Amino acid sequence: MVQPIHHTVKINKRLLSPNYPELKLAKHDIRNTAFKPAHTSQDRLQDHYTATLESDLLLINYTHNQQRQEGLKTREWDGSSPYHINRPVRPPRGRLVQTKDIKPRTWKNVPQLELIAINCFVKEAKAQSHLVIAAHLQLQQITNSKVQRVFTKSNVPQWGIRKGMPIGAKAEIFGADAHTFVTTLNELVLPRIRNFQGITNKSGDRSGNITFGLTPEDVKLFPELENNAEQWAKTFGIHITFRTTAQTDAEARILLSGLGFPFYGEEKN
Amino acid sequence: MIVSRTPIITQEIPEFDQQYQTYQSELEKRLMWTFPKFFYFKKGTLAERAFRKLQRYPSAPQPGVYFPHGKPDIKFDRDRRLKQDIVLRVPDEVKVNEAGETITTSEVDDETIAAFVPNSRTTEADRTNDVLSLERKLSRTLYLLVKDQSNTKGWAFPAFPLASKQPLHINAEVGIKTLGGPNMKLWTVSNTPCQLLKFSQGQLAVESAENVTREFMIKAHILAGDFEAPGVTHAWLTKEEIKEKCDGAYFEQVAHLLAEN
Repeated sequence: MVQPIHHTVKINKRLLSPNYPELKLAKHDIRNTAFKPAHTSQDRLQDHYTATLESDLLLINYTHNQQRQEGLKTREWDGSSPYHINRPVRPPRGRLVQTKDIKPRTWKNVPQLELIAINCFVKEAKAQSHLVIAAHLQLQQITNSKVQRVFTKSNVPQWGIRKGMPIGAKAEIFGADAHTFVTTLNELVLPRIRNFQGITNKSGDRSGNITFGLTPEDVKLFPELENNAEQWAKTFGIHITFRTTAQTDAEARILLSGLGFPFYGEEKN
Repeated sequence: MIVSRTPIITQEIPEFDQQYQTYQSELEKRLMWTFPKFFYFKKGTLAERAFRKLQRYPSAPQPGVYFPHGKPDIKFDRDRRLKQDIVLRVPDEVKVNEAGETITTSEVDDETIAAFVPNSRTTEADRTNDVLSLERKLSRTLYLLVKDQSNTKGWAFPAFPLASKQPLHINAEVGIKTLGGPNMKLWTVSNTPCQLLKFSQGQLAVESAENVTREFMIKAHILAGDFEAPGVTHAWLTKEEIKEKCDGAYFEQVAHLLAEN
């Protein structure tokens, strides 16, 4: 993977010392070595959101006489038996995990794109661990962010994995980086995928986060890889998760289709 | 019904913001990693040699030499006080031929790049201030306003009497199609109205008024086509222009529904 070949600024070692905390500079201070400029260009996706999408989403999701809808919660034992003490609580009716309450939709909780999480699991890395490096580099190229490595969590001999093996890479992108990624997907990558129908309506984790996947061939269409194609003999498929502040998947889908993603198929709920 | 044409091009940003963004992006370039040429150009290849030849390397600090713009801080062929300039091709030379025309000699003879000229942000409709055109003020949201024939309301959003017992948004869609012709492609945002106005004898009603007519506002975006109604005086206007044309009390009731951009 590509690492910085030297520090971008001269390090003032006095400021790194823990002896003088009052000398520490805030991260937004330009003298801090971790300073990163934020508003480097016009963000047209954010402009579209504030000018058009925000008010539309509020109106679409709004219904009259809204009440707070309780989610499914774990059930306490009624205490009719002495054995109920110390007995673990019952799971929610018909489910294993609790769901969130749905609050009334107001101008304060209009759905927003919070971040994009990109996950790349490389199955072949069980046998050829060097492939993880290529996957890491691929994510670094398409996201313009610092990528983290992914390690296996447990021993599963049937799958041929041991705990602690490098098995993939992941990245989380926010703000302008995320908006650039969305625009690249919508304008350069997805329209050129053969037989691309859209994101399936069945996707979603029931709390407003939508995931879809791209195959290794689709990933080659990212301009960062396409313009340097001879270096990229092998690419890796990725899973892209849009984490939104929407309360349900339907709301998240409305937000994403407003940002330009097509959806297909029947809705699950 | 509030019919809007959403912005087509990017927003106009104030000059100060533009300068701030330029400053920030220059800072970003300054703080960027040094170009990892080992990754893009393998050592010992012809491409690497050509790349190396094209670069302009900074001069190293010399003992006893005074540098008026500060002592260079060189790491891996880069002065890290400044942004790194990567030269990927020979800069164009400008020549003048016999006829007196200037020609640019370019190593990469890419006609598509040479032919690329962005369209103007201002259109013919902007120059003539044609309020009937949808191609005016491309960076702003435009709203359809019609002038009331009986002249009681003046300029206002188009409104239609509820024909039968049908949903409000269906009634509004049918009404606007009959008024402005079938060529308009509209997308209704929601079946929920976004505002309720009360009128009494053509004027905005006070709370205690009797015989009020209620006006529910349905939001829609125009996607294609145009509003074509020969008998109706209409205009596509921005928020500021609506404020000038409309009655003050009426604008106060609808101002929060209109986009600033």
